[in-house]
Amino acid sequence: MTTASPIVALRMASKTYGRGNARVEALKSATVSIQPGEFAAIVGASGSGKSTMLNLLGCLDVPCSGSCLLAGVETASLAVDQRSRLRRDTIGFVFQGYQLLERMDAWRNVELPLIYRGVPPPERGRRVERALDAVGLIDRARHRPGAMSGGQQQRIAIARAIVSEPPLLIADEPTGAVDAATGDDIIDVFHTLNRTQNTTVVLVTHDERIAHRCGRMIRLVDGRIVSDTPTDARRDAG
Amino acid sequence: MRAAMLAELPRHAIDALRANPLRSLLTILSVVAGVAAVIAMTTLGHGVSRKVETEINKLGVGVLTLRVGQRARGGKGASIEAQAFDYADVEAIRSSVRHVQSVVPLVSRKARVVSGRHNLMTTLLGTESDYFAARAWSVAEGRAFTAHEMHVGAAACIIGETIRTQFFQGGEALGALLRLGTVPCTVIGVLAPRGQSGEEDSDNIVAIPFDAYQRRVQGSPDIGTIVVTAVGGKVTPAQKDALEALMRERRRLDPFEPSDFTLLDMRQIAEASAATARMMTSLLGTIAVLMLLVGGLGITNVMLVSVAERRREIAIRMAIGALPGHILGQFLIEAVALSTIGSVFGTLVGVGSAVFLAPLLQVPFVLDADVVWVSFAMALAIGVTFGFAPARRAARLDPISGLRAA
Ligand SMILES: Nc1ncnc2c1ncn2[C@@H]1O[C@H](COP(=O)(O)OP(=O)(O)OP(=O)(O)O)[C@@H](O)[C@H]1O
Ligand SMILES: [Mg+2]
Repeated sequence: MTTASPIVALRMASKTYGRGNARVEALKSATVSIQPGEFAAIVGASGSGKSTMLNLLGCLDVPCSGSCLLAGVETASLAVDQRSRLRRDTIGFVFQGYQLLERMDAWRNVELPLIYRGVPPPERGRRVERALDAVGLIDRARHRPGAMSGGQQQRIAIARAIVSEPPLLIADEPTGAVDAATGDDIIDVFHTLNRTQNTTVVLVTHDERIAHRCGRMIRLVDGRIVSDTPTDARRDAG
Repeated sequence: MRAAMLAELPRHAIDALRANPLRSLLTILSVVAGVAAVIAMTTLGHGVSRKVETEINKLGVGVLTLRVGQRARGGKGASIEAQAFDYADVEAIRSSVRHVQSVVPLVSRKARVVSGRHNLMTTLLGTESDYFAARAWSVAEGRAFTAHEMHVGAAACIIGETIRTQFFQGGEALGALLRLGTVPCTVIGVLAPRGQSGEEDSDNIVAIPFDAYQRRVQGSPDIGTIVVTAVGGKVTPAQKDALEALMRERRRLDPFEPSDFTLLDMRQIAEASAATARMMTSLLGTIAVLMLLVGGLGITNVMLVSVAERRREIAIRMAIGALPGHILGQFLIEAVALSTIGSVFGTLVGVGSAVFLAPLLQVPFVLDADVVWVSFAMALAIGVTFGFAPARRAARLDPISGLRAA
C-alpha cells in the first residue's frame, strides 16, 4: 500500500438516523482510507450500513461525528454550495436502483453531468458517445429509460457516472439487478477505467464473487467495519 | 462556461411543464386572468383620462359661470328665491373686474325647431359670439354672429351637428330658413360636432343672438347665466373674489346674508371630475393587481407541489453535479416560462376586453404601445417573485432524503 495522501478517508465517522425509539446507528465509528487508484468493495448484509458509508464517502452526506476527508477537505466544514462543487469535481455516482430521469432519453441522461460542469456542446457530444460506447449501449442512445431492460438502465447509469471522468467513482450495487454475465461486463468497465485512467473505484456488492474481483474488501456488520483486507485479485495484480 | 448551462435550462423547463400539461395549463390560466385584468384596466384607464381631457377642453378652462340662485344647504327645499341678472350686470363686470377676456349672457330653453315637415325638440340658446370661444367650440361651417347682428338682434342662427343632419342630411344648411317656435331664422353657421355629454346630446342645439332671444322668445330682460372668461385662460382667486363682491354689492346683500347666486369655476369642476376618474381607475387597478397576486400565488402553489413531487429528480441532479444555483435557476425558469406564456395570452385577452368594454363604459379605446413592455415586465416579475420561494426550497433540498423518496 502506498503512503500517498488518501483521496477519501473516514475517521471515527458515525451516522445515526432518527430519534428516541426510532433511532438507528447506521454507521459506528468507521475508519477507512482509500488511496488514489484503489479498487475497493464494501460488502455486508442488508441494512448493515453500506449505502450510508458510501454516501459519506461520496460527500452526499456528512457524518454526525468523526470526520470525512475528501480530496484533503473536511466535508462537514463546507457550506452546501462548496460541498456541491467538491462533489461535482471529484465524484461520479452510480446509485442503488439506477435513478435515471424518466423524461429524458439515454443520451440526455448521460449528457446532464457535463452540462452542470459547463462542458461546451461539441466536446459534450464526443464524451457522451465515448461513455455510451464504454458500456456498449451507443445504439440505445435515443431510448428512454422506461424502454430499456434493468441491465441496460444500470449501464446507462454507469455511463452517466463515468462521462465526467471523475477521479473517484462510487457505485452502490451496480450489479445488483443484472445476471452474472452482465455483472462481469460491468466490473470489466470499472477495471478498464481503473487501469487506464487510474480512476479510484469504491463499490457496494452482495456478491462475494464480484467482491473478490476487487482489490480490497471492506466488510460491514451492523454498522461496524469488521474486516478490511486485500483480495486475491490484488495479490494477483501485485 | 455558464452560457452552455443557460442555453440548456429553458429546454429542461419546457420538458418539466410538458410532463404535467393540465396543471401547467391551469396555472397559466390564473396568470392570464391577472395580466388580462391589469392590461384591460390600464388600457381603460388611458381611455378615461383621454375622455376627461376632452371633457375639460369642452367645458373650457379659465371659465367662470355665474348662475342665479344658490343651491339650498342640506338639500332641504328648492333654490332660494332670487332675482335674475340683467344686461347691466354683464356690463358692470366688463367694466370693473380686471383681466377678463369676455363676459357673455346666456339664456336657454327647450324649443321646437321646424323646417318643412320636419320638427325636433332642441335647446335654444340666446347668447353672443364669444360664448363659443369660451367653450372652445368652433364654428365649423359659416360664421359666428357679427357685432351688428348681435346689436340689432338679427334673425340669424348657428346650429349644432345634430340639427344639420336631421334637417339637411347631406345638403346645404347655410342660408336655409328654420322656424324656432314662432321665430323664423336664417342659418349662418354650423358648430363642430361634440358628441354625447353624459345623457345629453351636445350637438342638438340652436343659438341665436341674445337680443333676438330676449325680444322675440323671452320678452323680458332676465338673464339666468353669465359666462366670464379670464385673460390667459386662468381664473385667479382675486378675480373670483372681485366678481363675488361686485355681484353682492349690485344685489344689495347684507354682509351676513348668503349669496343668492352661484359662482362656478369650470376648472374646479373639471378637476373634480378628473380626480373622480383617477380614483375609479386606481380602484379598478387595485382589483386588477389583486387578481395578479392571486395568479402569482397560483404559480407559487403549483411550483411548490412540483418541487415536492420532483424531490427524486432534484436529488439526482444534485448528486450528479448540479450546484444549488443550477436547481434554483431551473425552477425559476419554469416559473418564468409559466408566467410568460400566461402574460402573452393575458395581454391579448386584456386588450380584447378593453376593446369590448370601452364602448360600454363610454370611454375611447386608447392602446398604449407600452402595454407590451408592461406585460413583459409583469411576466418576469411574477415568475421571479412567486417562483422564488419554491425554487429556493428545491435548491436547499437534501439529496439523500430526495433519493430515498421513491
Ligand atoms: N434516511 C434514513 N432514515 C432513517 N433510517 C435510515 C436512513 N437511511 C438508512 N437508514 C437505516 O440505516 C441502516 C443502514 O442503512 P443502509 O441503507 O446504509 O443499509 P445498506 O447496507 O445499504 O442495506 P441494503 O443492502 O439493503 O441497501 C438501516 O437500518 C436503515 O434502515
Ligand atoms: Mg444500500
